[in-house]
Amino acid sequence: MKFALVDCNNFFASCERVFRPGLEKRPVIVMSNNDGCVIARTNEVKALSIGMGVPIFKVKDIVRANRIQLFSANFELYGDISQRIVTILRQETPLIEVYSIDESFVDLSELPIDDTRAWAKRVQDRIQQEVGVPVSIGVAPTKTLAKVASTYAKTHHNGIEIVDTDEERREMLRDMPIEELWGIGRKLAPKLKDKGVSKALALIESSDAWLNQQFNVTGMKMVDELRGQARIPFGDKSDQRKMIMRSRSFGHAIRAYHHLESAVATFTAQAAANLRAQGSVCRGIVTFLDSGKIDRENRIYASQLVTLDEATADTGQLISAALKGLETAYDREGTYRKAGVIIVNIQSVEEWQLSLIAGDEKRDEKQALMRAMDRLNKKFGTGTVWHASEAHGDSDWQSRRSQRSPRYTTRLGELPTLKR
Amino acid sequence: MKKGTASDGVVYHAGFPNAGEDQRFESLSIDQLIFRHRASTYLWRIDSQGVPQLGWQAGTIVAVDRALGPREGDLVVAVVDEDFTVRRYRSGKIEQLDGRAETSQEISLWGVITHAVQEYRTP
Repeated sequence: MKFALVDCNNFFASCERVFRPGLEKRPVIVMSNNDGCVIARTNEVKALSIGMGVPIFKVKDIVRANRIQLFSANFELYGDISQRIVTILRQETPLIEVYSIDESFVDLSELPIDDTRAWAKRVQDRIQQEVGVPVSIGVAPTKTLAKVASTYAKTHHNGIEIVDTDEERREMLRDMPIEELWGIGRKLAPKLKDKGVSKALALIESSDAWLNQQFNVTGMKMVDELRGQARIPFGDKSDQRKMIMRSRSFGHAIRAYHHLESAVATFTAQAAANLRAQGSVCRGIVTFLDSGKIDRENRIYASQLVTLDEATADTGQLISAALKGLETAYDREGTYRKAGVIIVNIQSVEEWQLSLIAGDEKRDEKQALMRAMDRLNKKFGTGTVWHASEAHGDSDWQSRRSQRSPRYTTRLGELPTLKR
Repeated sequence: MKKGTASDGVVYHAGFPNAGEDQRFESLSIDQLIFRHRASTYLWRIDSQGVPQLGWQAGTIVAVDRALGPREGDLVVAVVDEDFTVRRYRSGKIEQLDGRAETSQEISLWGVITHAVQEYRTP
């Protein structure tokens, strides 16, 4: 097996730099929209020891002293740039799994590639040249190793790390801190360190008996993968679906809005990509949040359907709809263990065009939508889904985005300007 | 003998064939022209000064493809002192539209201009 992970460097910040050449060497921070936490930062910012998730007011002196450029998140821009990168990857290889807004796996096992490094370099150069965003690429025999390799590549070998031999694998893992590993959260890392294991190689070369005590089944899968045995299958290639769901359980409970926001935007971008891949458009998207079981009795499941005026498969439109849904579903008091989006009321492009000609699109669509809502309500309990128009509070949605850059690539009214 | 003439005694239906029956096609869209490369084409708008040398009024929309290598005489978007500007590519260099050499040291090529769309009547 041979997998590549193509990972964008400081993705949101890199997107902002595409249209701001003056920021090429300057520190850039992208903030969440509402509470002003750091959600992306360039290497110059990392060098100033400003961490992810830090509230911006806590570092405002450093920001001023170092003339750090701040941006509010511009998810339409990031979604569009992400889509462009996926388009290029699809031209280079048939088997890709869009993992998140800034990462895609590629299955190279079956491809007739003689020189993997040359292939990776070509992909890296194309994305830099054609889209304008730098990427790191890790290639390895398992997905987990490919992920580690892409992290390693950010500081080695000009952004490309190919793990072929056992020696290369061990070399890479030798100094890799365990907290950088997939599936080892902030909770587990200190525990393992207390037991004297702080580097990835030392971890996976511990005895199986000891590892079995530390990890559950998923954790052991990760260990196998780091040892070079593929355990995580590549992508899922299902046929046309009538609902597309993308969700993930978080390793720990999440309260902060900005975490949920980027998760929801990511899921939406993935779901929208699937929607287009199957040649469909949709008229609605449900955003949902799940607290998991708080105790025997309590579990908060909140969701919000947002309907779209026009059928679409456009990432930007779907992301802004999904984020509107999140606004309504989100409760400041809640903590969440899972979030996701469900694209509903899916039609093929052909069906949609036919219904436009027949002139009864609205009626059909309403019926289909009601059926979709009914199904969801049945599955998750009454009140799960309701129309956005029935809910309150769409109110200050726009006003918070004070430092958002223009949506250069998704709005005709916000195109970048060119001088003579 | 030619086949299919009336003298054969064969009856032909003479209505227009429905091309839609066995052929799939899309109506024309200007996108087909402008977005030859979806991933690398960006749209820009000319600022309030316009580009009189090219007859471009303020607000003209310009398509820029980053996937293309510049050819002799191409119009390009160049970053000059951190500003995005319209320039021409000639003899391996980026020069001003009137043919003068670019004086700035800080200059780089951003993309090749492929189309300009002039709006004569706004909605």
